[in-house]
Amino acid sequence: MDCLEFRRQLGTDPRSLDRAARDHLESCAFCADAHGRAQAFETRLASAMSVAVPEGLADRILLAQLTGERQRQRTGRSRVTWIALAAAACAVLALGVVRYSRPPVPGMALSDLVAAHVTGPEERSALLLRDPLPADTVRHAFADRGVTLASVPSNVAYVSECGIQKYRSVHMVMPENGVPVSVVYIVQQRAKASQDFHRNGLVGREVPMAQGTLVMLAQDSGRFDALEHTWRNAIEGSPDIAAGSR
Amino acid sequence: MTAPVSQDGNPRSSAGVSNRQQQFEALVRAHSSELYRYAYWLCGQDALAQDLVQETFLRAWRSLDGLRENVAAKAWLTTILRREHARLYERKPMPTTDITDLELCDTAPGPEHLGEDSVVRAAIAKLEEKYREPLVLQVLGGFSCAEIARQLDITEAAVMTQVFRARQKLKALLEGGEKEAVLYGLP
Repeated sequence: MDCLEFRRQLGTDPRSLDRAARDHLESCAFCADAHGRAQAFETRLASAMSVAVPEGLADRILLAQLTGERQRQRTGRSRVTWIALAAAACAVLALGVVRYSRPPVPGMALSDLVAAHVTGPEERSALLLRDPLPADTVRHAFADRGVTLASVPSNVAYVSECGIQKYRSVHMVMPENGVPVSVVYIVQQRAKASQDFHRNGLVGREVPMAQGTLVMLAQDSGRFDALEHTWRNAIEGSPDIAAGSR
Repeated sequence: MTAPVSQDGNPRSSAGVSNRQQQFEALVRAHSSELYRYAYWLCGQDALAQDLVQETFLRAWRSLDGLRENVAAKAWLTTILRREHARLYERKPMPTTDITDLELCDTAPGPEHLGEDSVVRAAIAKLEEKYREPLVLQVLGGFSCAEIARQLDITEAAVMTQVFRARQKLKALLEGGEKEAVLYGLP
């Protein structure tokens, strides 16, 4: 390889020289200088092209995908045929008759249902979210469920109005130091008393709060007291009027 | 009841967790930054670049089953992004503002616009698109000339010429003169 050929290759792709070019580089001081200048120029280029990436971009993409997927599944469900609908309606009626003629199925307590929901494949991605949502997003989710928040706790990275079987809920994820806590408020279903529990390898706590129940799940219960206090203030307005305190 | 899942987002076992979802998350985490930068140099606008990247990944999610090998993911995503960018302009003709008139000339630049980088960025922005795009694919994406040729649907020789010329033009803008191209009689 001569100098001209080397320079052409250097100008075309300075970072991947072939064997002949590398051999030439070792034998030609003039081209070695040019190679040094080219590498320095490439470093400048790479640095300049590496514009700052907006914080939380990946999380926003995952949230958009998750939301879209959930909507798609709902739409998909609505596209079943009339025959399937009729069959489903019959099944629902039959189940309804059976369900309301006897107590809830033992073992499927609220804590079971919430634990299954927050660790399910549809919701799992929410645990990865880190960026706090605007307070209005949280406020609106509760308002849609008929709950007016007195204040909005900070650091809610995910909020979704989820149906958990027959229960209407607001499902949130609140990360702190990269460790998320799933917080679910079940509206219009008030637990009789507070209780801590273990499900799916997680620890949980359910707390009666206003007309509903707050359920928290995490790897440990370290933040539960603080979160319970914060959410009681948010949902009930003041600790003084808290009902069903632990 | 679904399988146990760690609250740090990592599955404790693969059962019950969608492999497809996991694959998608891995793609987003691995490639969103690089795709954003490529999108930024395509359109020159931060918000539009973010939209492009998000739409790219949403399209990728819908056709994720078509991705056979993860090693080809970057090229696959880049192709989707290029098509999405082209589609954007087909759907809605964008104002033909030159990239140099957009955010690169912000009167209140952020730290990333200051100093040496801002000078080089302004020069890159001045390149014609036919020079800028293959150069960005090579420098940022790390693609070979052959891979870029497939992406842009042009010959490898054309890519080699364009990236060579792109560098010469940048050097001319930054240092003055097109010495080496003239010296070596290159196109």
